[in-house]
Amino acid sequence: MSPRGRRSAEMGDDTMTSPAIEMEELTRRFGDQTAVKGLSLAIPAGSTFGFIGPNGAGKTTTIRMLMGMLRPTAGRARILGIDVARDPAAMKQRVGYVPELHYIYRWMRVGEAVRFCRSFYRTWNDELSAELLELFELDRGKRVKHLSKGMVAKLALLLAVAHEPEVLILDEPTSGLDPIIREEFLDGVLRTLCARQRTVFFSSHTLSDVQRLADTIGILYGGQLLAVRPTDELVNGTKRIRAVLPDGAAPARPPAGTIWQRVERREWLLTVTGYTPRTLDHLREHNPVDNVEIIDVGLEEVFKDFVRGQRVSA
Amino acid sequence: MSALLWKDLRVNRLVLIIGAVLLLGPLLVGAGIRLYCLRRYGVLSEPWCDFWAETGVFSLGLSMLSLALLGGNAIACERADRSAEFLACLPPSRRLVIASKAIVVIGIGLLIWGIGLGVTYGAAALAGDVQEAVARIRGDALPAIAHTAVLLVGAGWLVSSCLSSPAIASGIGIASPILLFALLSVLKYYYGYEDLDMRFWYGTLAVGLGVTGFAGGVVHYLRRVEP
Repeated sequence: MSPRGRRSAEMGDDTMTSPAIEMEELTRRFGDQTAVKGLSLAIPAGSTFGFIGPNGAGKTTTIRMLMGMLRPTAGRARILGIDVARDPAAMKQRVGYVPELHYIYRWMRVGEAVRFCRSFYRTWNDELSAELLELFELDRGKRVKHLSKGMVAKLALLLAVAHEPEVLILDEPTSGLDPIIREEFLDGVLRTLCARQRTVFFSSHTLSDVQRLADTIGILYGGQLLAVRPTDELVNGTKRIRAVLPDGAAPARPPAGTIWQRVERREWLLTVTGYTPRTLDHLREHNPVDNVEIIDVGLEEVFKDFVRGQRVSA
Repeated sequence: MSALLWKDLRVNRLVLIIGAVLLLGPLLVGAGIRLYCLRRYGVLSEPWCDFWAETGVFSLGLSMLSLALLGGNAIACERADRSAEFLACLPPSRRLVIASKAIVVIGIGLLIWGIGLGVTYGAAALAGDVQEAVARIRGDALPAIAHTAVLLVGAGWLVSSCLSSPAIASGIGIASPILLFALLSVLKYYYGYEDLDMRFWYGTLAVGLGVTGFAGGVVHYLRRVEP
């Protein structure tokens, strides 16, 4: 269980039940290409949602629609009950956003960028801002164009969280950062999370980060959600089964929840989500298997198998 | 709002410097040359009154270029370096953002004209008979410059609202009065509208197109969702 999940569970907070982020049949087409297809999702307040998918899956398009920076072709999105297409300004008062690429005015000094953003928020916390400046070792007098990529990412995080947003949206925030800066960045995110009951929606290719932070994970592929599960359930409930088939036999019926399978000579490899001991009974009952081995898999394997399975079926 | 105004002034700093050079450069250089001549030869070719009136009008004519740059740069420059994406993550509404840009562009335009007219009429009046001086240097050029300035800003602003290249937006702004003049000339001399009052129609169309372009740019910016 993620640190946040433990904390929420301990708090027994009923805000966990009301959605902070809602998407209804959210769709975005670019010409003939459909980047996001009828995405429907409700993320409870106080939870941390990890949004993963291969490049071009539609993660950034979804996030840009959520932030009111891209008009959906169909459907709608609400954050904290605010329709993002109707009142983006009110929504942004309560949301912090860290994009993958940071386009903070390069001519601004760090202190100027902080003052500039501060002027737009009613809830700006000067103490937190100063604390994060110190924690991230950001020099107020330095121009943004003279900061390293990692320092700009940290400044972007500071600017996104210093107004104490109720929802924090991070779009691949650690991509391209070295492990030390990444660690510091994630510490900053965790610090923000633990300070107050916040909802975090973040996409990342670094699955270890996702596993570390997220309560719930959504896997996106081809603009569609393949799975939305609690992290523990997704990782612990997904197993790889290696079965040996008799000579000349073929698998008859894979068990329910099979997301990917491959037969190579007599070896039948399959990945099953929602695994229970009954899965194995089902496998043995309906298939001529000699020998069966259960293998634990990590989030990375789970993700790859979801995507590979989808590619095969497509 | 004040933060947005500060940002917009800073974003247009280079254009403002160019504007200041184009506006004040001829005045300062001309005055310097005249002082040098006065010291060296003891006489001036024309009275100070004529110099201020003449150079004031010339400066206003030159500063039209900076107005075209200002209009073209206003919106597109933040798209070009993608800082518009950063601004789009922040709470100010698009209405507020465009209002700030409009205030900066109109404010600087008025400032340039204020200084230009101040020199043409104010300094000239202090130095002698301003009416006579302005008449001598064809003060009737001023309305044409004003009409052209409105067209330059409006056209540049409209294109700036639609594209992400300030260079193209400013270029189209600069080309717009030439195109309008060419169009009227074709009508007059090619299609036989010989009694077409070029001065009147140029002025009317330039102001009309400029104001429409400016309003169109605002509407386009407000309707657009993408930064």
